[in-house]
Amino acid sequence: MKKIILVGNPNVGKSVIFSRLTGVHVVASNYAGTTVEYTKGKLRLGSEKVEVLDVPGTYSLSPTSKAEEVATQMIEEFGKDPDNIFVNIIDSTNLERNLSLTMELIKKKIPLVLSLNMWDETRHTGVAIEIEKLETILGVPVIPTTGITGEGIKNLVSRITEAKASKYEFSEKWTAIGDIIGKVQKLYHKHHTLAERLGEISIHHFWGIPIALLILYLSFTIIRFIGESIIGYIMEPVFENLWSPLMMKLSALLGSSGLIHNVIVGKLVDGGIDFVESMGLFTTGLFVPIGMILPYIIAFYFILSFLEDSGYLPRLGVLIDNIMHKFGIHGLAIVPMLLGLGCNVPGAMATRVLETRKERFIAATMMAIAVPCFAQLAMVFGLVGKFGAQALFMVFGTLFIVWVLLGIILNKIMKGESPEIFVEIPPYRLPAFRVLFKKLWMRIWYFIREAIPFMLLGVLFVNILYTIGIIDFLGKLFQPLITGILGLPKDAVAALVVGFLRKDVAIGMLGPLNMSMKQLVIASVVLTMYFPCIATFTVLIKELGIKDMFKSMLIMVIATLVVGGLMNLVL
Amino acid sequence: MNQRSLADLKIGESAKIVSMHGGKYFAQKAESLGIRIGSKVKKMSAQVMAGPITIKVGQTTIALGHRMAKRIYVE
Repeated sequence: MKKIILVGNPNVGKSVIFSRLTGVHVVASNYAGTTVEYTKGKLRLGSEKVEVLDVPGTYSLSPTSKAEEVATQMIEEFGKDPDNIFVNIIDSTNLERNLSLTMELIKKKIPLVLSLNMWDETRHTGVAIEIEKLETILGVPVIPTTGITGEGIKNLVSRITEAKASKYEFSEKWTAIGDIIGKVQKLYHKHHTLAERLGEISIHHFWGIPIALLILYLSFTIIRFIGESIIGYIMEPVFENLWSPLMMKLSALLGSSGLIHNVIVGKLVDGGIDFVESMGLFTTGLFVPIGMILPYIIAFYFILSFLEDSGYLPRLGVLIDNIMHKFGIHGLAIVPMLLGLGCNVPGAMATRVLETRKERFIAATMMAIAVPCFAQLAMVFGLVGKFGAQALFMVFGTLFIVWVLLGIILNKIMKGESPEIFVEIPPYRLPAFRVLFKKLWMRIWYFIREAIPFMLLGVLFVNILYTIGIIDFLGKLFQPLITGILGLPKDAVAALVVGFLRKDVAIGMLGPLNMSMKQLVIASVVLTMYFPCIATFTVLIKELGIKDMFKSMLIMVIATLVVGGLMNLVL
Repeated sequence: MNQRSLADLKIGESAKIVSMHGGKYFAQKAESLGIRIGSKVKKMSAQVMAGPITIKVGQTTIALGHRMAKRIYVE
């Protein structure tokens, strides 16, 4: 199938144009042999159906990161077929820098169309570009577009087939760009916009930090509000009033006890269903992911996507760069950490924003050990929260200290370079909500698709392991470790086994064990640290390679025993 | 000669880049972001304790480490 390939610098609104062109049927795929994702969709051009590919953003065809490498490879590969058309998306308010990539594309002699995006912003940023002149000079169609409002998209679609290889000849790139800019662009004096003022103050050496704290505080307040509202007004009423009676009927039908009853409905608590403790496939297995965790996942990813798309994250990266350098990583490593707080899988994938092997190893290990995913977080809140804020503080305070110490130690013992931060800070923009919701949906869908089957598997697994006595056996085998060093009851071994499948289910399993606050705190910390869940584990192997992953695992196990043991002694 | 680097600029001050020193990765990335000899830059902010500085080149705002900034000379 003929392909339309969208290429451009990062932060030029490429994905907004992509979503305008393709509508709803969009798939994210990994580029062969890598974990770098790109999105693919379909577009009808007259009578023909064509494929639209959204290539990762890149500043040039001489790549400086893994994502840029993939972008360059894709352009190379798809450029071989002369039927394929390249749409170069350009931030009109930043024409000069964007033309750098355009010139490299022109040299490739591939069929090209330029989309001068964010056209509406040129008016208030004091930029005037003569479209026709640019078109004449380069000899390819140039179409002004505004992705957010959809302006110019129709025009872009109708002129895509006019794409052709540019005949523009030049020797030195920047001289040529200077020449073009001189002919087509005029800058007017303009006043500071509000977004610019906000942009400056949020990286101010004094005001930056208080603003960051305020934003983080607001973010978590909003996440809690959204999450609790969905649970309180939708999930709990549905499960308690509609699902519970249904399950009670099923329970009676299955004879209120027995193996099959316990696997499907679970154990009855005080003659009724307890959605957290019953541990049946259709009770706990469904309630935990949908009723307890999904609402927080929705809330968390909504806020994170908003922060991402508005342009705040790189600024946060600049503010905490100094601290992160103590760990041998730079400020942008905050992105995988924050993503990991949603789910460790995208967090692990995001470590590739970092340049060197040392940085990626440190960031991935720190995240896998000390950053709990939101599913786990929600369960810890539910279970440990009963003992009050003090218990929660012990769990997260310990994890934070581990995160810091681990970073410092890894930085000392790891060989290799830690380059400094070097990144474009995009202007603040109100996120395009259609892109934000699409991204949010893809992230939620990923959770539903990956988490629920594993959750059900986990619950089934627990039931089987208990029934055939494996848990008892493992419990006795690891008793010296579990009871001796960590001070946990030997039944906690079941949670550690299941934690490899789903950590949230594992934390839930601690509930019926009647543990003391101290034991519950230690168990929550240990479950976060000892090993990543299977989904994260698989991605980490791909990102780090087997050898480094093995090293990372070794660090996890040792750190868990040290920290868990110390807590057992101190608390 | 008493040369000043980007790190020595005051916040809000503008200057022209006269020379840059650094590895291949740095040179490539700088070039693609529009930081090159002859570019006019304006220093926007600097974090405390030799933290990263932010500059504006054309319409682009860029954050870079203090050590990098010290290797970009301006006048």
